[in-house]
Amino acid sequence: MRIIEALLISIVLILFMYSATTLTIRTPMSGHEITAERALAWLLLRSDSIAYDESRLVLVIANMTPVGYVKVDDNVHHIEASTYTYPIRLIWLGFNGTLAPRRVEVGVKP
Amino acid sequence: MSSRRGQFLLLGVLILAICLLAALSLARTPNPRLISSHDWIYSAELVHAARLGIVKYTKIGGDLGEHVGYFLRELYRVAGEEGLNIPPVDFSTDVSVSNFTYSYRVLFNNSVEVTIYWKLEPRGFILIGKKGGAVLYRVWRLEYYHVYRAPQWGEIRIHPTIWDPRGKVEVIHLDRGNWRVLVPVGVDKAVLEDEYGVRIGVGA
Repeated sequence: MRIIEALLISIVLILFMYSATTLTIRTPMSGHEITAERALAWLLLRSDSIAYDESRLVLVIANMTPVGYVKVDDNVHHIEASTYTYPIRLIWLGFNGTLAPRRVEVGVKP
Repeated sequence: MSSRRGQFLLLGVLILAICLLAALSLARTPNPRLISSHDWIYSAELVHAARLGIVKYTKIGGDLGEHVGYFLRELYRVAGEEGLNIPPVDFSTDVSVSNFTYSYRVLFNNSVEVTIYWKLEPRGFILIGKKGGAVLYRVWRLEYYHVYRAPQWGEIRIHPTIWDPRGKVEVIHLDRGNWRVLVPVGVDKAVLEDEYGVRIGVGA
């Protein structure tokens, strides 16, 4: 009898966790994330060289959109404390016709 | 007995929570449940790669398609390492020169397009006094801009800054995309450069 009870409670608990996660995780992109993505796309369109001046890049991004962090290759710059961020990744391939890939990840605040 | 009541209470709370969540999901505005795709970034990455290819072409010559292909391959390689699923694309290139009008064009098969355009108009000669003497310049009016098209943003036209890296030519900004270029007589063709490194030939 107790085993059946435990089984029932487990099933209900699993159902609860599943419905809670589908509500929070499987949601479309927030308006804020789309706005941030557009701003970052514009930055990529507008400047080939900005990613090679790390402090300027971080300053520009931090002023464009609310972000938790900016990661340039392996250097993480913490901007604002945030419990949850959407990571948006960009690649600057190079500048002035030369190849020098730089990976940038921006933790956008919801 | 009390532990059994506690279990029923727990079960009741969980069932109520599920009902509340179900009600909440029904009350929400219906939205398509899609995996977020960063289309704006992907199109901007293609423009960035194409522009670098054009810069390299204007610096060392050769085949524009090969230069663009090189940067695209690198883009896909790095994107693969970073877990960015940039959709594969094909592209065509076009270099056009006719009657003082020039353009470089890269067209991707997903409707992303990069065009770099400039037009020259001869505007006579001007004599300018310099260091106790005078220099005769040939005057050109230059119209210069980049156009980036993509389904996400439509058309963006930008007017990059240009200058003469060798410092022999006078480049005067008039207004958006319009410049006056003074080339000393004796210099057949001046080579200007924009802020991305694209080289522009000015001269007959």
